Amino acid sequence: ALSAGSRVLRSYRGGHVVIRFALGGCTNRPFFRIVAAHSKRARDGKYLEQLGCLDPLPNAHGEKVAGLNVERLRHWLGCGAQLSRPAEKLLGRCGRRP
Amino acid sequence: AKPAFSDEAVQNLLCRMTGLNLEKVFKSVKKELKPPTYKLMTEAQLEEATNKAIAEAKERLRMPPVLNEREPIDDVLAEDKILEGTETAKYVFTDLTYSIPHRERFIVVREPSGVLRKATWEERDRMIQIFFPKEGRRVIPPVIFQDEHLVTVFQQDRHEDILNMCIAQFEPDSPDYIRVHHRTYDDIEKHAKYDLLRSTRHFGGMVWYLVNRKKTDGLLIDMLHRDLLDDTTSLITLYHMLHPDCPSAKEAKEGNLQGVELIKVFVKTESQREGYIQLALQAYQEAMATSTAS
Repeated sequence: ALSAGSRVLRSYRGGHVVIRFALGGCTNRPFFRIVAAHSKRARDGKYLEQLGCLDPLPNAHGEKVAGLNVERLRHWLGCGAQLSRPAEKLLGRCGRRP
Repeated sequence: AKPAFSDEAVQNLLCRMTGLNLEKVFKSVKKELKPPTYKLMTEAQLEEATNKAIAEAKERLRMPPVLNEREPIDDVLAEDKILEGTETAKYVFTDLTYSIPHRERFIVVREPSGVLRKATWEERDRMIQIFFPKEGRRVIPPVIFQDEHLVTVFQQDRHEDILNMCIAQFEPDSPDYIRVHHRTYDDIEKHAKYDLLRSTRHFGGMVWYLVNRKKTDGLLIDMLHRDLLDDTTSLITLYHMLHPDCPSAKEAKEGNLQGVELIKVFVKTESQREGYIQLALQAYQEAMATSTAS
């Protein structure tokens, strides 16, 4: 049962679905999760679905590892989600968007 | 046409040669210590239990596939000169859709020079292990699979363990898997340690390797010393199937020889260590004579 002070269900006025990066990790060690969420939510708050991840620091082989769940990404883009600027750049780099 | 490893006839021959030593197949693996359980059974129940054990042993002795080495991937998807100076490191993108088999996943690499290419097999294996970890596999292959350390492993007689580790770590068609297996088989053949692999699932692969390279003498001698005549006949039939042009194969087909005659013909034409095999054959025949006489 929902008590008076609980914040489980939020209803916004306006706002749309965006696909953006949520920052996680520790001090001096960032780690991004590629996430589909409401634009009015906090950056690291409750999201609709996690669609992948990006590690901005290069690993032992000199690569920056990124994973993208292409099928679910297509679904959300089909539902009309917007992309943030860094998300656009990432998708452009992997060849999925001009 | 040349028979492949996965043909039914070949698999039957290899299964028979592998033998079924129940004690060795179900040898206790290091687990948590438990006191042993004892069950009281009638003769019929014991028979049923042994049959079930034999069925499970056959399942455990199924041979891993022997494939050719895979071709290196070298496919450029796009070249964008605009991105040339923008980054310092390469980006590796993996498709994380759950329902695609790992062979068909898209794993692409964007180099700092702007070239978008498909990832090489080693990069593919690493990425798939990072995102979909499999038990027993490390992201970076352990140091033990390099040649200097394989020597130490062979000195400790742990061929079976390292072959199991190799199956867990590498894909069957990767060059590392093939190299480790060939190294192991060569070492076993050099020191005649065939019994180490006798009741395991690696025996078939070893026999296939030796027959393809015509190094079957040591194995023949070992089988004759252990009085396994059926195994020798199946080995020679396999040899004839794979090399139908050798003189012993033609003679065997004409005369339709069986058993000891087949071995004698084979020894005369094909083997390098004729003397040894003749001696072993003689010893075997004497042993058979004394056992039938007594």
